[in-house]
Amino acid sequence: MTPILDGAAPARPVSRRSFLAGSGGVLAAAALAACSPGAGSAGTTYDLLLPGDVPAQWDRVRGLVNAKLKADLGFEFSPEFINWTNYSSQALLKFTAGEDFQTALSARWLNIAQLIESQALEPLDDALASGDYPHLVASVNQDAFDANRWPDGAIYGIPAVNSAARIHHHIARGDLVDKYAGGSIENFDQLEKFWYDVVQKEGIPGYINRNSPFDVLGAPTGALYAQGWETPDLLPLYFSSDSLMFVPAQDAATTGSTNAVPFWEHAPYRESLHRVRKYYQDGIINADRLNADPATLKSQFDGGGAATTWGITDGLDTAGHLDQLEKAVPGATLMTLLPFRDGQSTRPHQTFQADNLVVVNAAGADTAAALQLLDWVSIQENHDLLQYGEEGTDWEPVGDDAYEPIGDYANFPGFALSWRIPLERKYSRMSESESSWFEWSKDYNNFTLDPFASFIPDLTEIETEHAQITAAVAEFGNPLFAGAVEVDKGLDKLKKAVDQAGLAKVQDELNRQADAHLAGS
Amino acid sequence: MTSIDAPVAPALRPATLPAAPVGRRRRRTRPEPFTVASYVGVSFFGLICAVPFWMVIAGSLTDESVLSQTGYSFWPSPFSLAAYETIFAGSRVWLSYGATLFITVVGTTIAVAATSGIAWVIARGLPWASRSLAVYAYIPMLFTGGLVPMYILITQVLQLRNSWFSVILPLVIAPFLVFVQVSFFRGTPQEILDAARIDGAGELRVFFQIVLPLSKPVIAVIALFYAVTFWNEWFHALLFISEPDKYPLQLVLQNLITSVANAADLGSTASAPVYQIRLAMTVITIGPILLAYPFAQRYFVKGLTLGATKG
Repeated sequence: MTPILDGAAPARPVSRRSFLAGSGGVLAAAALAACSPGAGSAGTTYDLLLPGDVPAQWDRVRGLVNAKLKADLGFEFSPEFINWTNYSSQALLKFTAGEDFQTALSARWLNIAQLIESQALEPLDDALASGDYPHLVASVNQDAFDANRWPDGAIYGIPAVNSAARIHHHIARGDLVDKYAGGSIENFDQLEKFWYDVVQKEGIPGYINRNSPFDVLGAPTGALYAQGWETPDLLPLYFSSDSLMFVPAQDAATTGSTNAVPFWEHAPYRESLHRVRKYYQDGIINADRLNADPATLKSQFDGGGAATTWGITDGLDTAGHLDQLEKAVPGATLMTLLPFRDGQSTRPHQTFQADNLVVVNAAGADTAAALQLLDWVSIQENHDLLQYGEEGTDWEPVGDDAYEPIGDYANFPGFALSWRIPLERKYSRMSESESSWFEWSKDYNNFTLDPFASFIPDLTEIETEHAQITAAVAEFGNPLFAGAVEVDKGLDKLKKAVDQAGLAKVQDELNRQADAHLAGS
Repeated sequence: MTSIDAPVAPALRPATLPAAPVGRRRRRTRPEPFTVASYVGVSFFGLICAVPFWMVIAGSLTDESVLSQTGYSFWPSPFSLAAYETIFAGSRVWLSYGATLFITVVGTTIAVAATSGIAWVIARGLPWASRSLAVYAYIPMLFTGGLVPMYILITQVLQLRNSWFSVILPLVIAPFLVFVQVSFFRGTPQEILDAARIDGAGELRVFFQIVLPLSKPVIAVIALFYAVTFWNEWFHALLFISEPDKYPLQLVLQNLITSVANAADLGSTASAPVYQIRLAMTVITIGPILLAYPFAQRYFVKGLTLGATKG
């Protein structure tokens, strides 16, 4: 038989037999592979969702945790780690699809409102009052539960916090503070002078962070918001944190009239916008705030590329940066800075609403087991095993309340499951300043309960306007917060855009709901 | 059955052919202005593509301390292999390479088989099947079922969580490539098919022994498209694969870009050189698929243009 094709492209015909054999092989492999791994969890293994990355040495520690969990409660757990960038959308998708995982992290800044509205979360009041979960109830302050009640009065999440209030602040290079500020910074003016000295003499930015309205407007403190360090008594109101901020009247609690206005009508906020613009032009803040990712900024700071960066009072300032900073800049130290005018006698306003709530999936395989797990991790021994690893292998106790990591196990996202104020251990190398402020932040008495503490606005009536205003803030507000545009021109554009998007209706709705809240509280 | 003879190759050039005139040789040394402009333009474009790629390579070989302070540079100084050492110290990259290879090889095989099959039926113009199959293939170009239904289908109906087939199956039919192949198949000379049928060949035999061998260019092209798609796929893996040991390479890279802590998961300590590792992972990730292009290149233009012009 002569070849089939033309002379330019001689071909070896694919025989039917070999094609069928190949296809059959592939399909058989497909069937085998498709059937084997996707069978789901075993009968006594429950899934959970955790944000972030799989901790190093996780398989070993999970084995230890599961062995104890099985001995104590008769089941095991299998957390699924979802990276932060995708966590919000992935968790929402899994809730929407009705997956049977047990618990997840949620909060107002994630999507708890949608989940509650769609009845995807289990109300927890009855379970908490039942007495079946004593360790859980004992390890979470009742104030924290009360501050996190939804407007319908129910509790939908366990506050997973390790301090009473999370105060935004600065993590500073202690060696540079020694060099340029005489070893201490007591107020915002000194901090500003320190930044300018560092920029001029070291050639590195004074403060780096990704773009955030809270840096500029403060709630009640912001890294670049000077007024917040003088009188930290203002918490802006908003339907969602990525949308427009409103400022309630100073006397709202006494008059019962919220009279909230857009943030630009509050003089200290306008002053802050101008200050940030100046910082941007002077090289005090990083110019790539609009698109810098957290990982890059952390690497920049840890590599000695900035004098200060953003921190929050969760006890992780030193643990998160010191090791890598020391490798890049021998002799470098860290310092936690909260430049309150009145130091630790300040009583900042707080809502005590938790940034992290562990919610129980209403479609979960066994909601009682989910609460048993939350109770189990509220026992010191179990909490330590999950969070710090195996004692003697991964960590050593230091004193009564600290730990020294001696292995690679780190970064378990306890904030999504096991953070409890009385059970947390401090990093043994925690700086003196961080230790002091962290202890201060754990005491509810160091804060003033804001009149809008339990106010959670409902955006049902203004969803369309809210969506359009959020888009306008993303387009015109974010460059303002980054200092990337001239303030007056930028504000004009923002005002025009939000006016067209329905600012008046949204403002009226917010005031109506806030007034109702004040009348009821 | 008789076979189709290939055209006889032309006889050797007669020895008496006149030598090329001298003037013609001169013209060869002076290329046309358009050719010069084309070369310059293409070279410039190539440079624009190559420079960033080179800077990624150079960055992956630059010490982390300098990289984090000064950013990209054209030459790696100080030279450092720390990122590659970190990456290859653990098993994560090897495992993810295995996952990506499986997804790419098996996925491409299934996709090419499925696409060729459906394209041939559409191309034959059968009154009872071709049109309906064409519509069936065309609709997903315009509409999709949406993320949630697909998620439920894959995880709850097909039970494919943590299976690499959850990454493969949603991508095995690309409507655009189906129609590219349909166009190519329609260009197959009808006389050849008729001759085969007259000689007693059944439809399967025509397809396997006549059509497929004649369609190597377009198969090579769609195979390359599918291979690149499967190689670069991370989104479905993100949705459906939660066991880190089964992560494909691109998902490992994506996780690494979104979080520094993932660097520790590659097998070294938490103080891994993050900037450097990101760039090194990019090099490692794109390297193998780049090698596929030279092999498929000789079919590339022919496969696409035949399909495009003979439709």
